Amino acid sequence: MKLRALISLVAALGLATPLAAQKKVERRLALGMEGALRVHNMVGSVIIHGWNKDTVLVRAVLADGDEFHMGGTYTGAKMFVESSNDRNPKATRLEIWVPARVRLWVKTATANIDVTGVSGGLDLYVVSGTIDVRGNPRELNAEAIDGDIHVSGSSPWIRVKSATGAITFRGASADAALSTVSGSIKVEGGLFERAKIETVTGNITFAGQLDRSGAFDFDTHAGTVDIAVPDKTNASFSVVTIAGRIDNRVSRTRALAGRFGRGEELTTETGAGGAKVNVRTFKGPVTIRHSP
Amino acid sequence: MTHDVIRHLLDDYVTGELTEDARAPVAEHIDGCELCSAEVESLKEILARASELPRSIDPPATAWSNIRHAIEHDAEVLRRVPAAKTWWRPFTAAAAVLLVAAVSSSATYLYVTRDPGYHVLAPKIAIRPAAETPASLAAFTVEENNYLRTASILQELLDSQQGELAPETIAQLKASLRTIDEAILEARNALARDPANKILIEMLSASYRQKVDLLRRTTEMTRGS
Repeated sequence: MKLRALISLVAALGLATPLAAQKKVERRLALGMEGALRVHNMVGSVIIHGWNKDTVLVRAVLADGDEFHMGGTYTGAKMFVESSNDRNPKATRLEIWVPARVRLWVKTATANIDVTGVSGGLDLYVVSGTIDVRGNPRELNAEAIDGDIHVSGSSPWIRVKSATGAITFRGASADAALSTVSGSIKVEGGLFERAKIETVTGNITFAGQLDRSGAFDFDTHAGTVDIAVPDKTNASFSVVTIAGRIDNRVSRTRALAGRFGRGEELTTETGAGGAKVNVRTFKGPVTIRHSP
Repeated sequence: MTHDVIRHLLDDYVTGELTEDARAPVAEHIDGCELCSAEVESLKEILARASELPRSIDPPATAWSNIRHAIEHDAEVLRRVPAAKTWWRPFTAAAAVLLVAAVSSSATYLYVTRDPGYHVLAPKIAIRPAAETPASLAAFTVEENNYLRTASILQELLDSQQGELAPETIAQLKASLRTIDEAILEARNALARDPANKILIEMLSASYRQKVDLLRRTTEMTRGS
């Protein structure tokens, strides 16, 4: 009988351990609709929703021993997780509801960042997690080292950088700059006024509308460049490769042999000309075509 | 010494200006590093070509008017390519020869007369904003040294912070830096064959900017909030 009771006790403790190793926290803080919020979480995930209340609500799931801290005023607040072991921090899940027009700053190490419905400025930094943004932030600055970055929505000003991670941007922007080393960059969507897209070996795919007075730069060392523009685009293309090929499908102009003895060069226009599109690659092939 | 510190010393190694103490570890590294070995070969080639040049060249009195004329015609012809492609070639070639001579001469002059205190003074020279690119190979060489120095400082800082990064992230970062270094080396070798190629200078500048930016971002992210 005693043995059975002991087994039951051990089993109960065993079952309880995972639950006891996590701690749930819920906190609220008043923050103005256009206030500023800083969030710092090393590992796990940060999920942020914009809402139309001047309140920050946080639901956190912390590892045992970790502490959640939050404080600030109506104009600015900060929250972070204090790990019980800085050398080996445990995963924390932060789900946060913030005033929609807030100025948001989030920094993580390996935590994924997911932001939805925030129209204020966003500054998002991860080392190796992924960043997902859905909505129309006033400004967006997102940086990762080896994580992917996905943006779905439009922003007048967008800066996105990764090294090995891929970047996808579905939306429109007046001023966009996207950059990777080996990660691919894929842009799809609406109207762009200025864009600078660069990689070292990552492939670049651009399918968007070009503002007639806009300027667009595509640079890569060895990645492919595929630019698709609508039929009635007014643009002037200048394409130079040192050792790559150019496939022009938007006009009858043929690429010429490069002036430096290798590679190819193309200068051509679509419509009445206008948007200045500059493409430079060392050995990556370039294709310019009409959108399907 | 790290790879990036050694890369910064390669030009002094090739010109024999390294102290004996520093020369041995650099030589040992070059023996085992394909990238540095290729860089040394490239530098030796540039040095050999530079040594064949005269110390100074007085351009002919009509040089600038010829170049300007060629540029104006170049712009005009580009608008009418390919119909009138052939007649301007000799003109552009002549201008290119003059340009190469002038650039090479400037580079040689800078090289021969460089100030021994240059390495101390150089950090004061700011790296140009992203939108600007050096106008000549000589200007680029100065800028390249600044990039190398900045990258070296950042790399050392990052090395000291490596404990803060996961091993997988360090591996990814090293892979990215290697990718950029390979692109730089490839473009550098192409530029050695074609020193007047401004597009290559722009590409090299862009690659260096990428490298410095990646190192800077990583050190900033690793530092914590």
